[in-house]
Amino acid sequence: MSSFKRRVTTTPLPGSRPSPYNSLPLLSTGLSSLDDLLGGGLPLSSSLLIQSDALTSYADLLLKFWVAQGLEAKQEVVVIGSALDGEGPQGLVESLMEVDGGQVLGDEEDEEENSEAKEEKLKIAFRYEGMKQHATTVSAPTPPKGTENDVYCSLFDLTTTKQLRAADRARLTVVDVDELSEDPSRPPAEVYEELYKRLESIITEKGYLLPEDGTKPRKALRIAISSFGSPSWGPAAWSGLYSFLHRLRPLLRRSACTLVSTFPLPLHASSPTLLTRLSHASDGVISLTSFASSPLSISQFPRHHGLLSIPKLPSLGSLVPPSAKLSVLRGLGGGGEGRENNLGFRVKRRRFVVETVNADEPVGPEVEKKKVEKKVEEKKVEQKVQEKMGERETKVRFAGEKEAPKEQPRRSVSSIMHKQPELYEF
Amino acid sequence: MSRDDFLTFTTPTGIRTSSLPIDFAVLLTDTLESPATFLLTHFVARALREPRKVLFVGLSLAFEHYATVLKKNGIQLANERTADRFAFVDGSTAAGSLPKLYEAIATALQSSGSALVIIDDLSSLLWSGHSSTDVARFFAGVRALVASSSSSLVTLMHGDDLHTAGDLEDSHLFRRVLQQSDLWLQTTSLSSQTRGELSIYRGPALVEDYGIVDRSGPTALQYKLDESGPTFSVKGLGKFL
Repeated sequence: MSSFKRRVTTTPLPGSRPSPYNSLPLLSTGLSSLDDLLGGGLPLSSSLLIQSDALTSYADLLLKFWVAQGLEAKQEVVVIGSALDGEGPQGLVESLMEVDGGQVLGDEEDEEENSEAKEEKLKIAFRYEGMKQHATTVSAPTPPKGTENDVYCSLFDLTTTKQLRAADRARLTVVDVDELSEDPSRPPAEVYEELYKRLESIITEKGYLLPEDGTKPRKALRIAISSFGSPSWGPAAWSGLYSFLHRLRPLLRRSACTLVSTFPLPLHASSPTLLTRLSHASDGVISLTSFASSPLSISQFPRHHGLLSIPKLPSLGSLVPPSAKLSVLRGLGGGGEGRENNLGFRVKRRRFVVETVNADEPVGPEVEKKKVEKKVEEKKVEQKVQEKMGERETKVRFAGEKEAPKEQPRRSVSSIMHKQPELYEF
Repeated sequence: MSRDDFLTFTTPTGIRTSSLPIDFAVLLTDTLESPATFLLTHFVARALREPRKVLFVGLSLAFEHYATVLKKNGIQLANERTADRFAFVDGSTAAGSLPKLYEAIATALQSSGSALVIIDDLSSLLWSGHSSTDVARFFAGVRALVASSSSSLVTLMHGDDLHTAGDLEDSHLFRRVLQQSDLWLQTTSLSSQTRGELSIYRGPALVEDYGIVDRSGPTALQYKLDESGPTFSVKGLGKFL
C-alpha cells in the first residue's frame, strides 16, 4: 500500500464533533463545562449514568440539557421515564429550556462580577500581567468556520421554556414505562426486559444500527432515561437492572446511539452495592453530591449548590480516558502531573455551571455583604456606647464646671514613632 | 522497571521467564476507579508474542474494544483471529445460560489446544442473576478444562465491595475463586483513573514456587497508564520514573 493517501475531507455526523484524542464522534451534553470534563463530549455509542445523592432535581436538569441539545442539533431523541415520577417523561419534554437568544442582556451575576473586576483593577507585577485571568470554569466554545448550520453545543437559558414545534415533536419519542407493564397478565418484574425489547425495535426500525460494511452512520440517536430503576418502575430484582444496562451496552456499541440516564440513589439506600454494579455496566458515571441536606457545606461553600465527581470516565477504544489528557477543568490539561481539581456546580438564574471548588474559597459577594452588615451593627453599638459616655461626661462637666478634654483619636505606636520620635525614644 | 518484569516466573530449570506457567490460574480484582483492563491486554499481548494461542471470553466488552487498544501495542487482533491464534467467545450472547457458555469454551479449547484463557469478567455473571454457587461451579469447570488442556487461566473480577459489609454473594464467589487460584493480582486506585497500585499475592493453590514474591503494602507496585500500557515503579520514590 502506498504511504501517500488522498486526503478526503469527511463531513462529521450532524451535530457531532470528532474527538481531538482519537477522532471518535462525540455528542455534546448541552453544557460546555460538562463536555470538557468528559473529554470534549460524550462518545457516540456509549452510556452515561448520572447519580444524584439527595432528592434534588439537579440530575434531571442535566438530562434536560442533554435532550434539549439533541433537539437543537436536529437529532432524534428517545425519552424514557415513568409518569409516576414527578413530572414524568412527557413533563420533562414540555419543560425543556430554550437557547439563549444572545441579544438580551447578559447574565446579571456575570455583569456584576465583571463590573467588580473593573473596579478592582489592581496594580500587579509585570510578569503576571500577560497571564490569563483566573477562571473557575470554561467558556462556551466558538464554532469552527463553515459549520454555522451544524450546532454542536448551544447556550441555554434556564428562565425560558422551549415551545416545541411540530418538527421537534416529530423527532421526539416518549416511552412511558408504566404503559410497558400495564398488561396485567405479565409479571411486573419484566419491565426491564420489555424496555430492552422496545429500545431494540426503535433502534432497528429507525435505522440507527451501524452499517456492517464499516461506513460511517448518517445520523445519531439520543436516549434519555429519567430516574432509572425508581420504585415506580415496579418491583424488580437488582439483577434485572444490571442486566438491562449490561445487555444494552453491546447494543449501543453496534448502533449510533448514546444513552444518558439518571439514577436516584437515595431510593436505593438499602442496597449500596447496586450503584457500583450499575456503574460497571455503564461507560461513564457522574456523581452529584448536593448540599441541600448539609447546612455545614452550605456555609462553607456559599457559592455552590453541590459537588460533582466523576468516578468513571468514558474511554471507548482506549486504555486512558481522553479526559485525562484534554480536560481543562480537571486541571490535567496538557498531560500535566498536577493534582486534580475539586469540582462543584451551581445553578445561576439562567445557567448551570460546573466549576472548580477550593476549600479556601475566595470570599463571595454574599459573604462580604454579611461582613459589611456586621461592621454596621458594630458601629451602631459603638455609637450608642459613645452617646452614653458623652452623657456622663456632660454630667461630670456640669458638676466640675470644667471643660472636658477633647477626645483624642486613637493613634498607633508606629504613627507616634513616625511623627514624634522624641516621645518614643525616651 | 520494564513492563514485562513486574511479574516473572522461575522455571524448575532456573530460567526466569515472563510467560505464565502451564496449569496456572491468575485472579485479577479491580475497582471502578482502577480498571484492570490494561492487565488483560498486557497478558494478551505477552502471550501472542511468545507465541501462544489466546482464548478470550468477553462477557463485558466487545471484541472491537480490545482490537483498538491492542493496535497501539502493534498487534492486529483481527489478523491474529483469522490466523487462529486468537479466539473470542462473545459472552453477551451465551451468558444467558452457564452450561452453554461452558460448552462454548470447551469446544474452543478443544480446537486450539494449549492456550491462555482469559475471562472478562466473572462478576457480570453473578450480577446478572446467577447465584454465586452456580458461578463458582462454572469457574471450577473452566479451571478443570484449563488443567486438562495444559493451558493457563486469567480471570477478572470486580472487587469494589469485597471488603465492605455489603452483599455476601460477592465475597462468597471471590473466596471460592481465590481457593483455586495460584496468584492474586489486585489493583487499587491512586487519585485518578490513570494511576494505581498493584499488589501481588501468592494464591492458596500455589504448590510449586516459581520464585514469585509477594508484593503488597509497602512493597506494592505503583503504575501509571499510557495508551501503550502501564509504567511500573517502586513505591516511595515520590514520583514515577
